[in-house]
Amino acid sequence: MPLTDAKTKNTKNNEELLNTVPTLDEDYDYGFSDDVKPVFSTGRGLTEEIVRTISREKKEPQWMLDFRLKAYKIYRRMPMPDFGPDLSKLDLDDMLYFQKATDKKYRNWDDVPDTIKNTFEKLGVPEAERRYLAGSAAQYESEMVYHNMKKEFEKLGIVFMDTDSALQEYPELFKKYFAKLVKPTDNKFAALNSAVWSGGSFIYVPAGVKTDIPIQSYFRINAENSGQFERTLIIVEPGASVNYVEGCTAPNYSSDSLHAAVVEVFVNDDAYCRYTTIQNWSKNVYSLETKRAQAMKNATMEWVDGNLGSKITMKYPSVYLDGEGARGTMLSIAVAGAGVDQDNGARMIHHAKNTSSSIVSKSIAKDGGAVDYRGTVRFDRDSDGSFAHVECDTIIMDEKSSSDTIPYNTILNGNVSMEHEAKVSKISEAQLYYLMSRGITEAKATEMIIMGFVEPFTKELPMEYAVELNRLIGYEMVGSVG
Amino acid sequence: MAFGPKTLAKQAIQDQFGPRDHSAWLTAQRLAAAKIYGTAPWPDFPKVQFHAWPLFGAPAADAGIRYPDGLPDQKDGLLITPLLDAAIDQMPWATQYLFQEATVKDRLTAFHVAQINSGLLIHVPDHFHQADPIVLNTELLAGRTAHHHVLVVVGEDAQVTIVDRYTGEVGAKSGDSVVTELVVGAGSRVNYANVDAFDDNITAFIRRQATVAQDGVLNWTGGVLNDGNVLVDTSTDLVGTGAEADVKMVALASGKQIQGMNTRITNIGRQTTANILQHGVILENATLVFNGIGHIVKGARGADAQQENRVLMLSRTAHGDANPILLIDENDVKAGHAASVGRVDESQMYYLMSRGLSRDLAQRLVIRGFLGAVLTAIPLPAVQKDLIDTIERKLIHGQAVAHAQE
Amino acid sequence: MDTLEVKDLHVAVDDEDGHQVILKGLNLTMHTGEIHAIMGPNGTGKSTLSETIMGNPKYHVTQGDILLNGESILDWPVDKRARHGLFLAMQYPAEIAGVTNAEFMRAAINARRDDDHQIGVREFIQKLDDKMAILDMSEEMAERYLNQGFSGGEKKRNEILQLLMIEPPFAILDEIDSGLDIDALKVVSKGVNAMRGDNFGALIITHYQRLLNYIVPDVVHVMMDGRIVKSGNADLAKTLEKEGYVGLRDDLGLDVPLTDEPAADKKEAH
Repeated sequence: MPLTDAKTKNTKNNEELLNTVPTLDEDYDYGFSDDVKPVFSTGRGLTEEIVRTISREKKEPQWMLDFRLKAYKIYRRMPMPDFGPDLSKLDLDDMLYFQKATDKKYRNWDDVPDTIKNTFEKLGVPEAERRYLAGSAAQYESEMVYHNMKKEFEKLGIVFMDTDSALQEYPELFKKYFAKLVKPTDNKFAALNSAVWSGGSFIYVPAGVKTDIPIQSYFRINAENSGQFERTLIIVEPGASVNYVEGCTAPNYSSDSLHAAVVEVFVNDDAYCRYTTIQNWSKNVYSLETKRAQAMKNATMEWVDGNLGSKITMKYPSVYLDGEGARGTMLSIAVAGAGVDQDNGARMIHHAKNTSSSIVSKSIAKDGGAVDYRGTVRFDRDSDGSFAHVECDTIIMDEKSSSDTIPYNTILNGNVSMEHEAKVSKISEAQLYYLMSRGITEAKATEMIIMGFVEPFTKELPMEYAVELNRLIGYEMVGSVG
Repeated sequence: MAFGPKTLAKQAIQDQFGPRDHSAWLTAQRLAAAKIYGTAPWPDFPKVQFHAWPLFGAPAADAGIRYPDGLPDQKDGLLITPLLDAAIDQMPWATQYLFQEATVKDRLTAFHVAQINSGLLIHVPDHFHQADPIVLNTELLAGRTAHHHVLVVVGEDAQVTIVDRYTGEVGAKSGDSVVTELVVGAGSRVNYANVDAFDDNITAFIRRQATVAQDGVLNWTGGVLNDGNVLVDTSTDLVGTGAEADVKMVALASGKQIQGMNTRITNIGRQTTANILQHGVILENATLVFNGIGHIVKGARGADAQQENRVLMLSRTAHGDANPILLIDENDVKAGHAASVGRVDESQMYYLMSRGLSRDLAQRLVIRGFLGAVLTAIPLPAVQKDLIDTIERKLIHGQAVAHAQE
Repeated sequence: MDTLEVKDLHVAVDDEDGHQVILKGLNLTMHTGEIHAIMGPNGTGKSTLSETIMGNPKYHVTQGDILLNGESILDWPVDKRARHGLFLAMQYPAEIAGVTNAEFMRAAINARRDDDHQIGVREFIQKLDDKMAILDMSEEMAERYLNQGFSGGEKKRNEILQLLMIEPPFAILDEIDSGLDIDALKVVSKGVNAMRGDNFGALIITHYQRLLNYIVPDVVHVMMDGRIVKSGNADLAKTLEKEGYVGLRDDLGLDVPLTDEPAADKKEAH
């Protein structure tokens, strides 16, 4: 009988990590920092000249410089978002917009400079790559320092590299897709990313090539007041499939860092993409991301999105269901503890016949944290026969915490159906009593109920990530009973 | 006229209404509203683009309304007074509750208050207990802009049913406003039913704001069946411990009209219970936006806020929005919402048609069933029938339009 | 030998209908090695007694005491009572999605052990397999979510499975027979009988005598209006079955209304 492996491994994993990771903050394992002098930095603040410098440093073609400069102008002009969390404390003039940690990108961990390699060792990145990944990449500050793909996958014609290299090596493919889903005018932080983007993953899966084995990128911010602006571009050709995973951590600092990524995913006819994120930023990081996918005829796009850390997260991954029979899903959890404002959601735009979408959102607010669901489901005129399902569940653990659920469901076609449900409550007293009546302590019972609550999410993760996530949530729950 | 004047000149308000108001207090309130008008924010109607609507009609010199059935009898201590003729200064219950600060904070309400040209003050005394409903029929006159304001104060431990119907005279266009303030006293049970059925010559801002005191119960049913572009804001504050509100709304949108509805209940007191049920049907090229807002403020321990928003789309070119919003600042609560948008249930259609009913008739019956949850809660059979007839008429028209397009 | 004593217990409950006094001076002493049965008409406070002993926060002791091996447990939270030997097979066990049955039982067993002596995976699985075999339960029941979507009979079996896994000194079985067909009743009884011995005591709460044909009690108590009105041996249950509660009430000359309200007992449990 398969007994909850996750639980069994959980303990072991816990011990392993406690032995290897210096704990700086009892709630956050990854809060350590390294003393790494960047080989190149544009310094604090942002000017047009810095945008030019970044492009020059990367030896980019003229069109990209033009794109960046245009985006920079848009960024200067655009207002901050007029909804959601308070961003007034975010000091954009104090950020470091571009820092290069190494001179080159490595394909062998042995070549990566020791300090940086050690960081990723502590984070378990090379270990994971050896054990269960098809390919792995690691970004440190502004640029990827490492990427590698196992030979057997490379042979299939799958391209996996950092986005900067892709611009050089696949210029035509790049130009065809880049910024086609997320334009600089989309929002202020998409404009900022477009002006100063650096790093990120580029994945191209040729027609008919299927990989179930995940490809992973790990994003690490190290320096104080760092801005990380990676740009990820995934192209899944007809009939192909890909499973991409990203993780993010940063050190604890008293001042803020900014992560403003842009992700574009193109899922062509009959193709499949799953994009899994485990965001575990330290509590001084603003994570303001724009993630968008396009699903063509009978294609499937799945976002699996776990949000545990950060100071403020604003992220609403979307799927444009642009081909007949396309499917889009979002499965997300968010945990907001003290001082954290998680403003997450999803957008499903039904723009073709017989498309379907599903959003399942699980949120937990505790210790004064705020966790909001903000989503949109839109059925356009041409979405005959389409269907959407939305489920939002929230547990508010204590009287200091709060949660808003703000779903917009816009329907411009009479021949569609949509179901939406949401619940907000505290932890069920009946469940707590039942578990405790078997001798389980209140703290453990609470943790079990929370784990059960997020289980629809964790069961979708690769085992190793599920273990890690359970552990992280377990940590978050410590001390939440009192 | 669109977007309204930048500011409202105090002198003009003073000159226009000062001589007519029977109460200096009222004039002072107008001036206060005029003062905030220029800087007040728009009312928040998510997903409704109403800012260019002609909502800022200059008020008719004399009242822009009439009461076709006259005003209800004043018996058992019930008091009904035309607002402009009342010596409000001498009516403490009115000065206490009229134009509550929280009510007058948006641009449209401020405009309304500054320019009220008709209205009623209604006082239902403590322990009032009358089986017959108080029925108010109000007709907006064509081309004569009305800014109509009603205050209903129900005392303690009273039981009362109020039916508040609005129609509009067919004719010249106008941009009107109707604001009702309803106060439910401690331990009182109020059934309040409103029907809004303006013709398409009237663009209107309709706002109804209720507060419920300790252990008060408000059963609210509303029918929103206008033909023109209308904003309807229905808000209830559950202020007292144990207060309850059950708000049921039906709406039907047809033609090219836009009806934007905010239906909000705020749980403020402990152990308060809020239920919202909204059913809407959209025909032709119309737009109907349901914003259901359940708000539980910090300290409202034991609060329960539930809402359900259902929209039925009868036309491919209709536009519907069902936005169930929950704002929760307290953890000892139960809150839930559900929303759905869909088509007419085909299995119900099949069943009815298998009994020989035509598709159109079957469809109308299914829709009436869909709206039934709210229609049956309307307290006065005559009003219920009137509502059903109005819906029927619109559905038949909508079906004819649909057939013409086929 | 462990001892559970209930002394002059007065209990009130807050429910939707307000504040009600349910138990009005109940006395009961039981030891491990004994099976006691409590019978009584609906609405007489049987479930209140079991929930109060277990420590359901909805029930308030207004007078009297509950002692486990001489120590008052009134101030103990429910989990502490459980770890010190009390077990309640509930009438309406909670459903918890996302938590598997096996995971839950393992946590319950480990809650009784210190960190260095947690039950091993193999040992746990072996024990689980054995106990599930006694109860005729299929293996997949262990991996299903805790009580989620279980039928009434599956829930009862699952309660008894937990009893067998946790092996507490004292178990209270609250209407474990309600809603069971005769085959399921036999299985559940087999489970309880498997626990019988010097180190186990049980308090069986039931409305009907039928269950007591399968789990023969050492002592039978009859409860009416919040008190125990008569105690005896297993024959008392049979007498009751014949004469009914009304007969017994009249024999005892009690002034207790017996309007059997089927809904009342359920309300207590929720």
